[in-house]
Amino acid sequence: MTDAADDLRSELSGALEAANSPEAVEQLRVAYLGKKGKITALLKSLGQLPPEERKAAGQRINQLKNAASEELEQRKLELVDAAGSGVVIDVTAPGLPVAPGGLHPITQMMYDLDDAFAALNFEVYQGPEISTEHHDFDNMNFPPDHPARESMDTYWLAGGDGNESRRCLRPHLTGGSVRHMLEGSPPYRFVYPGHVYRNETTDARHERAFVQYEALIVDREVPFTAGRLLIDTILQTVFGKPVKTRMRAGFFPFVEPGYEIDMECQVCAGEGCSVCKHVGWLEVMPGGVPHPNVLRCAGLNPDEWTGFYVNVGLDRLVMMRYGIDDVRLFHSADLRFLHQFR
Amino acid sequence: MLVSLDWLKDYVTLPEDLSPEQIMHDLTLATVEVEGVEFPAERLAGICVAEVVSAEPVPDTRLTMTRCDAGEHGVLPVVCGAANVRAGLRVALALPGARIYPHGASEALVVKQAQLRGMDSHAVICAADEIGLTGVFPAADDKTIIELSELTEVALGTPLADAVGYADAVFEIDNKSLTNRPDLWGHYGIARELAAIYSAPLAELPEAPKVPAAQRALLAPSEPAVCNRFTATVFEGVSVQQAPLAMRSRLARVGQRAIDLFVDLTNYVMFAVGQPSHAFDADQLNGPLRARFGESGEQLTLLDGVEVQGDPAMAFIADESTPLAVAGVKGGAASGVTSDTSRIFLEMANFDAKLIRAASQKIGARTEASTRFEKALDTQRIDQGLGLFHALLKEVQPAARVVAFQDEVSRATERAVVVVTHDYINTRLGVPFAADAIQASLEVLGFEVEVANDEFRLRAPTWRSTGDVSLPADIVEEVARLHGYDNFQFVPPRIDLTHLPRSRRMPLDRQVRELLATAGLQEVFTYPWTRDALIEAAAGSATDFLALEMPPAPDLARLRPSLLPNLLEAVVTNQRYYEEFGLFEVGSVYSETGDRTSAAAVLAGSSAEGLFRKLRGVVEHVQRRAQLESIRLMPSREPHDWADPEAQLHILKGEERVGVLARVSNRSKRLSGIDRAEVIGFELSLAPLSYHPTRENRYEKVPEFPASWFDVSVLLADDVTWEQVLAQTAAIDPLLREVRWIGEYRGKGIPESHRSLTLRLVVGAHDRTLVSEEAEAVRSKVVSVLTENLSAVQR
Ligand SMILES: [Zn+2]
Repeated sequence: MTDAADDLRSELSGALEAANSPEAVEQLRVAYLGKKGKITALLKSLGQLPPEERKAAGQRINQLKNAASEELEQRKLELVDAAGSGVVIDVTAPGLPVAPGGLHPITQMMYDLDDAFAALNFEVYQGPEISTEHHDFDNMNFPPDHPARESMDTYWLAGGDGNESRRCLRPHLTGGSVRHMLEGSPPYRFVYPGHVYRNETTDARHERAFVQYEALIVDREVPFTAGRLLIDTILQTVFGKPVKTRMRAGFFPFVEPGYEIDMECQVCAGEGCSVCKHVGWLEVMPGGVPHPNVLRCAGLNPDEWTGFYVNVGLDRLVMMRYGIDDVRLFHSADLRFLHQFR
Repeated sequence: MLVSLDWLKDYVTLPEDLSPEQIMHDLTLATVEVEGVEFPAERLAGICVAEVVSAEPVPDTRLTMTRCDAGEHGVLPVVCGAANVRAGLRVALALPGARIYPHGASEALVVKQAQLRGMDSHAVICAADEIGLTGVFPAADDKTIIELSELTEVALGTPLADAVGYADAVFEIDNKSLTNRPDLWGHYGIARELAAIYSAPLAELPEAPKVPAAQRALLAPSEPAVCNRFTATVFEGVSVQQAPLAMRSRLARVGQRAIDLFVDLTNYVMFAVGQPSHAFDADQLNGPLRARFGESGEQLTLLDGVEVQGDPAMAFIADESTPLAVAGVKGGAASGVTSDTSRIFLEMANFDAKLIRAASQKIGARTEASTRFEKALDTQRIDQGLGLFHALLKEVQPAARVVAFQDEVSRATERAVVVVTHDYINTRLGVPFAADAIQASLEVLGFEVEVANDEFRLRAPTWRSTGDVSLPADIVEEVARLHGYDNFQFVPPRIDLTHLPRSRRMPLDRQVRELLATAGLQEVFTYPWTRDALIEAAAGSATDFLALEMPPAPDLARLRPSLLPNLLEAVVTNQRYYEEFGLFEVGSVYSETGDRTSAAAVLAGSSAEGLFRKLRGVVEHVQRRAQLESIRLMPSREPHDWADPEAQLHILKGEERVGVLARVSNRSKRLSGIDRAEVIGFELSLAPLSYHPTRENRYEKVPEFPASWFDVSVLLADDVTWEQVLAQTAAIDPLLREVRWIGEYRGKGIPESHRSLTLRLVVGAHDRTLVSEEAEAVRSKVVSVLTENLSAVQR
């Protein structure tokens, strides 16, 4: 009896091994465990045994039945899993676009910088675009006859009754910085991004509307070398790695002393190439200590307060970041251009 | 400005191993931006001094067959076409390999041995314009070869560059970086900086000889507002010829062509010390000279033939009868020096800077003189100029005599006094400097330094006292730049954490930009001005425009009152390349009261209905995600610039309209040039909006018992709105939790002006699972309300 059970068990195992579809397994289940199955038959034959052997043989055959049933089910699942889904996918087809929108590349750069400065606990200031001669020139240490006041550089607004200060589209941000300082109390640590406008003839390198980014620290003691913090924060954010810079003498009406800040040419790594006119350095931004007159206009005593200021043209930095060769693309609203930066 | 190293070496003794590139670098870091350095000898490579030993005319041609002795290069056969070639003449001979520019050619021609009409020609005898030397050797025409008659002592075969002094390095300095440094507009000023940078000795300039005062007045009193100092010197026994080769060569290297001895002398003095002057023919003057304002009705013909009308905004140099020159800008034709001149009246003066700039703009002439005067020169510089002029003239024309001199000073430049403490300098620089080191570096620059009680009392030199140096900060700059900005160590700023105000969260405009971008729209930048035609198309109701005085184009004067017009133009830009797209801009819009920030977007595509629902979804997304204090959308048929009143929502905050979401009207599309596409737009003013101070919604208990749902389709007339459906079903039964939009259908089987609307009814109770009879009861309630009140028909 037990021999027969062992034989059936190994017979089934061999048959299952050979079965290659869930349907074949089902046929085997019927053949062994069905009403007329081989194991069922064995169970039925128990009655012919002597009573003292029935119990042990019954246990033995029930074990066989359970083991067979489990083995059948296991094999069936294996074959179902292996059968595949029947789904056909061309995995090489292009991915579907997720919401095809995006920020303007200059906005992206601006927000990268905002975040970098926010991490240094700088405030982000935003000021009005319509400004006045009083704010942007008188307050800014421009002599009354400075050429920038003439219409050729600044977009003056038509009209005005002659009594009030002439209005203009802001030609720079520094007047706004002074305004912001007049509203608060020192020390200051803020950045000021914004669009500015100049009356220029446009070409691949010149635009009438562009975006500047200003960063300013004002405190009681700010050695001018501390200003490198501003410069390095900007350049590391833009280029994603430390960039070698140098400061050299420069003149700007908002600052005294003033510096021209150059960075190592990223194209030739300082070796000299056509991009950097073979000097290995590129002019990136002016900076310096706010001019005493500017501090005075911001309501501060220049003997008590000092600081550091940089102003950088974002258009140029974005052009360097991506290798863009025409500044006019930024205001083109051309999606073929803008979609490259989303 | 071009600066010659050879010329600088007249004034400063530089370390011997210093390369021009190093000078360029050091000067750039400490003083002014040097944009490049050029070596003029490179242009003359392969050209040498030679002598024509024989010259035979070639029969039936204009050519001459010559043999030229080029010293170590041998005696060469050369065919020459110039009329002035002759035996015994010293010439500039371009040997094989040299590059020359034949008359008018822009590309170089490389000289090689050739045959001309069967004759050997192994070199080229050069005309001045072929080798870029017209400034040194002015020629009557381009067929005339250079006559090196001044080079009889030079060995034949000597490189021409050496013979004419072109073995030099010429720096190009960015004029903008010189704007605030009038002292640097001459070689002597740059030499002074180099002396300070390298601690090198600076030569003294020659002093002007003492001349007894004039017997009769050379000058009449000038207008003090025009002129700070006026000197007149009269020389007799002069002859107007060509300036010596060395002087012409230097002038040419810094970009100034030779004209005649006296023009060249005044130019030379100007390029040396920065002081302009003007030489008149003394015999053409009528009475004493003075500087005065122009008068209307006066006329003056300038040296270049241009007619200038008198004007009180410009200054003239005039004698008793007539204006002679525009002061500080340009001389007149009638009183200029000619080859007949034998007496020179030298005017060397100092004029008001603003007046010079105004005059040079008025007559459209920016000259080397006006460029310098408008930077504000010091009056003492005239002494340097006179000293140099006398010394040079004596060398060139020993026979010339000074016969009269007059000097009228109305306002001498005063030395600026700056008092600054040692501590101030060190704090601002962040590095301690010894007092004697500060003193030494300032003294090299011409400052007089007194140190007492830790305080520097400084008298700036006159050449730095016309506006350049006046404050303690200026002194910090002088010390820092001579030390070298790059030699300072970084000092991190010390930051007081207690005072700074800090924005509480992301500015609203940034939040809105980021939400619109993640909603699938692309940000664009447009200009602040808008084309008149687009204002007509999409912003016709605006009245209080801001406009530019000098717009980029006549129809671009008005600043945008709304972002929509320029966005419609952007749709036109892109409609050629894309069938469906979305654009947005967050930026300023302008009105008489100033500018305010607005956000606007457009979706362009083919289905107005689909686009509308998409853009409405975007507005709702922005409102929800930005936590804006409650704004709501309200249908309106009120006409609005670009909106189609049939498909328009007002965006309201309370009762205030803060924006519009609508289909762009056919008229606006047509006028802005949009073909085919449907466009849906919105504009939302950000200024009135604010973040909810915290969060606006309350927690609701999560239902314990499951809800169930089923869909119902009803036929409705087109004038029945979704909002009406919601209103009718809102409070119909406490078991009805929500009525959701599933979809609408128009077309086959649906009558004209109707739609089939499918709703999803979500039902449930908080305390039990509903049985199907209860759910069914809610369904029939909904259907009967819609049927009775909105004439719906269940499908
Ligand atoms: Zn480079």
